[in-house]
Amino acid sequence: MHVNKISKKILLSGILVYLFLYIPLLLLIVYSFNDSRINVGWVGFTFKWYSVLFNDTQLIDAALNSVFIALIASSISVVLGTLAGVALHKYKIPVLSGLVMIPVAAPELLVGVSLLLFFLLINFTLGTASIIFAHIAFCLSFVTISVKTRMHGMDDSLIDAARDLGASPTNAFFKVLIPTILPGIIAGWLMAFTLSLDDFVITFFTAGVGSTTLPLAIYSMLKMGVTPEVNAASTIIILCTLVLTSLSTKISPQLFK
Amino acid sequence: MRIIKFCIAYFLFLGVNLSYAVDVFNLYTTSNYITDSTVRDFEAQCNCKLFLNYFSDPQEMSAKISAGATGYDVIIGTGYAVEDLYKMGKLNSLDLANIPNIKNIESGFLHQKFDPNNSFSIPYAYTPVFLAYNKTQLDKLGIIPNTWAVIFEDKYLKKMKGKITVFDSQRNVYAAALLYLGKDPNSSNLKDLDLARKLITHASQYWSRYDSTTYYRSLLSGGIWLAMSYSNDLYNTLQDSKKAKLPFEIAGVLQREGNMIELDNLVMPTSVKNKQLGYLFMNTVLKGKNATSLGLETGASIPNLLAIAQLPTSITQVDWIYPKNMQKIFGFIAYPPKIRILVNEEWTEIKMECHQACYIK
Repeated sequence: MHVNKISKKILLSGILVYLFLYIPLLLLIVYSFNDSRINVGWVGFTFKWYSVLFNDTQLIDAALNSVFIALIASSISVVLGTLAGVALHKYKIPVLSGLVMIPVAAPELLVGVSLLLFFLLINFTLGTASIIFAHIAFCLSFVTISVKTRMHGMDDSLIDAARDLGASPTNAFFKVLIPTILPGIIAGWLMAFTLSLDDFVITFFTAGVGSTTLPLAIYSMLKMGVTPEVNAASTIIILCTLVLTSLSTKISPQLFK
Repeated sequence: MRIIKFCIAYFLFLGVNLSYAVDVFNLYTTSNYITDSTVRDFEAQCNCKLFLNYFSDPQEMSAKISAGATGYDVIIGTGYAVEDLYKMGKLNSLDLANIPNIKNIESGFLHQKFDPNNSFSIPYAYTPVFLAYNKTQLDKLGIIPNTWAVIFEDKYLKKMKGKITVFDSQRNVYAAALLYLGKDPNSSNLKDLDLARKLITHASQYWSRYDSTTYYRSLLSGGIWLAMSYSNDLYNTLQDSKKAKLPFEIAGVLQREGNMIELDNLVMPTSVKNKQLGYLFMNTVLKGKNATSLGLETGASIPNLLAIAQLPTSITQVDWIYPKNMQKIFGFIAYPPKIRILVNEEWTEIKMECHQACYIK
């Protein structure tokens, strides 16, 4: 009886959390069909903004560019970050663990400007490549922290056991360590991907000519007014995410348990 | 492995793209500030591809260019931002003989104080800054906001507490205060600035917030009655409100003490790859039909005689889009560095004070 009461409360709060998360997204989708440029209050139903979007090659290019940068930057930082996380766990050097936190805590503006000055100093042409390097630089810390935390919860004797049973160091790393900390690695990758996808400040300073990303394109609309075209673009991104997530739950269900 | 190969291939492709990018022209501007027809017109003439690169705030752009970012061929930037860039030696001097269409520009907009001979900047478009208001509500209160007094004097403020927004921009709010005080809106005289600061600090407790980007939404939803406004925002808001059938009327009015305009200019950074293409671009956007399309699509005010002749009178007759009395219209001039720091600090303090007052409310 008592248990039932509590679980009902938990269910209710669970539903509230989901409402809290999804009502804004739902509104965003509904308003992408609004026949109004300013987009305050419902005016009428239209598909106009979707046709505007599909003819806006600049915005589509920016979106594709964003996804490309996020994929590359998060994948590279997940490899480097995992190695760094494992190393930091193995060799406990307090200074290094502290230094990993700095890019997370430092103001984005500072990181952006210093990266810009750095790229100019070494005469590196600003463009897509410089954005990717900048994103790796700040995503790396998030992955490292995520992996390091996961390592703390791991039983170190697992590696010893694997070695005792005849696994080579490489085998022990790939067959025992990686599978154990995989949730931490995936969490780090997802975090890096989203951070890279929606970063504005650092991207603005490190972007060169012809490398506009989606956040840059959207923020720059502020002066002339953000139209529901942005809602339409966001709706499509949400749909893509939905399809990808449901596909991945089908392919590897154990990941989402 | 395949991913790594793909990455390498992509980076190589990027490298190739950058080093042989002779047929690409890079414009640096805010979004939706050049029309598709103009882009097509230019691309047909230069036989090249026009890339649009975006910034959201002229000061961010200025920071980036002054740090040394290169690759842009033409920048469309606000007066005081390009003035700073020129002083830092980041902009080319222009040879006006290469831009014959400069004759289309209204003479009142050439020879700005920051560039008397147009030696580095060509006017592109401008937006007056004035007060937009909920006419239905203000009529009830008997207030006609044709003076800056309505956002600074107690007798008006008390009736509209929490219903006013001003820009989140020290230059615009200080200029409004200085105009109200009967001073030069660009004054860097310490006494004038101190008077303005006191006035703003006092009035700010009645203001709702500092907002330069979403205020017109609040006007449309009825939450705000009086807002410092840009002409293109109000133009688009009014277009929209026709369809929405609002229960109240929104209007705009210039202030009798005078109004500021934010003038955007075409400039050519020193990193331009091909000066002739830069001139060709400037000349193309100054054509009558291209300037007209800009005015129609964005609602920005165009200082172009041919465009003004072609635009519908329903736009050109509106005083707050195309002000009649240019004597009362002022452009911004960059502050000397010391004054800029001082005003920035004061502005931060003013905003903090409002926040405390707002929370107590």
